[in-house]
Amino acid sequence: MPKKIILILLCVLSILFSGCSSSKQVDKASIAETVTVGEKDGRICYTFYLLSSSDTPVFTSVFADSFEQACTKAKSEYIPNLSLSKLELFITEEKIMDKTLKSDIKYISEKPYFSPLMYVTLCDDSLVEKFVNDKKLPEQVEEHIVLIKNKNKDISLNCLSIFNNFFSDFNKEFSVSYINSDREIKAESIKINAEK
Amino acid sequence: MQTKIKFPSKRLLLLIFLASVSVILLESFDLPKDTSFLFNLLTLLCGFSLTALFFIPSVIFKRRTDLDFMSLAHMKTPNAIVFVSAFYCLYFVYTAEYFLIKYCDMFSKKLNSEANIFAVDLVLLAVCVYAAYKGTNAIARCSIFVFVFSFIVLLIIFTGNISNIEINNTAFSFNGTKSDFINNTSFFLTPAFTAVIFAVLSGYTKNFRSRQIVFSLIVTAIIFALILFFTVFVLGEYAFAQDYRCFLLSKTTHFGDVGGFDSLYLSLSVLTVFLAISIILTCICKSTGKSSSLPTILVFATIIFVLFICAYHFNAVKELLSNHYLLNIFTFISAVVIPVIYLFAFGRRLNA
Repeated sequence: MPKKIILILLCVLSILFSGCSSSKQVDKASIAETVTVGEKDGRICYTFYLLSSSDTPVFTSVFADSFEQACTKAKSEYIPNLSLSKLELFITEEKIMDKTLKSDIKYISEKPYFSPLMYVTLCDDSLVEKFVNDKKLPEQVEEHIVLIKNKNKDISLNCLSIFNNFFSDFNKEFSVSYINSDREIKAESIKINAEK
Repeated sequence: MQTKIKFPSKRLLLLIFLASVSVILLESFDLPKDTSFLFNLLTLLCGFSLTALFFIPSVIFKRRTDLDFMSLAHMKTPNAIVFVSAFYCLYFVYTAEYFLIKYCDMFSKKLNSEANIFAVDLVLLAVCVYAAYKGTNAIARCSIFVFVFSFIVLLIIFTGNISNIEINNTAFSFNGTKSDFINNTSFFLTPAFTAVIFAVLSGYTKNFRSRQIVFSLIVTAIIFALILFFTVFVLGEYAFAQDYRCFLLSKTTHFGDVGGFDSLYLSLSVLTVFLAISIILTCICKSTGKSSSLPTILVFATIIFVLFICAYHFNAVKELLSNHYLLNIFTFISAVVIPVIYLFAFGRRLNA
């Protein structure tokens, strides 16, 4: 009998004390799957696309100078329960790449909740705007990234690979994917300089 | 609860091996970044060679008398045993604290930074107290299951990363200073605390062979080297961006589109730290001269918990309790100095 009481107590204690009190219910959590970085009115805009069952994309746009600032601002002002551990796609407009990409990749690599295998890609000006209306677009972009990976083995597609190219002493120039949405979505490769 | 029946020595060595694995999983690998691959490999070999030497005095006791050092000390020096017992109890309290702090740090940094760390520690200690009360044999039986689980987890983590491996980005030079050598060797010497566990508990085992220790240490060294160097080959510069490389490695594990096995790493680390602390609590019991006594375990578990609270409130205490130099010095005294004194004092009579 004492054994059973001890075991029941341990079970109850483990549930109460193992951090479940601060857990987030799935229906209350805001899980970001995609983040786009674009320019609006001359300011850099980070848009967080959240997981939802609605037919149209659910998103929140935040004006910030870096992804770190955007995350802090989004959590404190717009999405209190924002979860970034399921982030799969990080898309930056090519024209603002020099301002944000390197510092954003560095921030992502320092935080344990981001996956190093997250796809990071560049895109043209109009793709970021199309994301607002088309819910299936992130999925299509990922499919094209996988296709280009199969064709070109030297291309850097995820955060891990891009970070290593930016911060190692070996490569000064490397290729990343570029999503062109001129007529239909198409993934190409583009060379960028690590010294930038 | 502990019976007089002896269990196979292999089981204790398995437990000791898993306790060493917990060191590897919970260490944040703060090796200097400018030391090269070959230099770190050399320091790893030095660290594990020294660890092997730490086992020698207790192996001599085991082979000559089939007893562990602690039982022999109780028999030969009943008047001085209170000092020896007190020292070993303090040593084990320090070691348990070292692991608890490392585990709770990892828990708050990688899993849930908002969780109440004292509650996590209390639950872990409560489970360990129960396991220690059941005795060494029960914990050793549990270690068989944990070993199978750890084998599967490590296999998944390593095979799921093989496609990312890139050795071209690693410079195979030999760079490092004297202070780096001392720091790294001391870091790789941390698993030597298992020699003290062996010195205290080996009396419970039968069919002991020296090669079991050699085999156990070689496998531990290989896993240590794999996690340390494989991570750098697979992740490149990214390996230095975050601490807890094994956690990072488990995050990058992928089989096709299925990726991210960090929950397996967290499960394995909690299981191995549970084994390490449970076995340390049984060692405390054995040091006091009792095979398994619930009041003794509860008293020491309370001391450990109070010290843990102090460590998180006073940073100086935390630094002192999680210092691997200090742990190695205490390990050297417990595994080598005191047993060697007994060997010189009673060596001839042991032979007779």
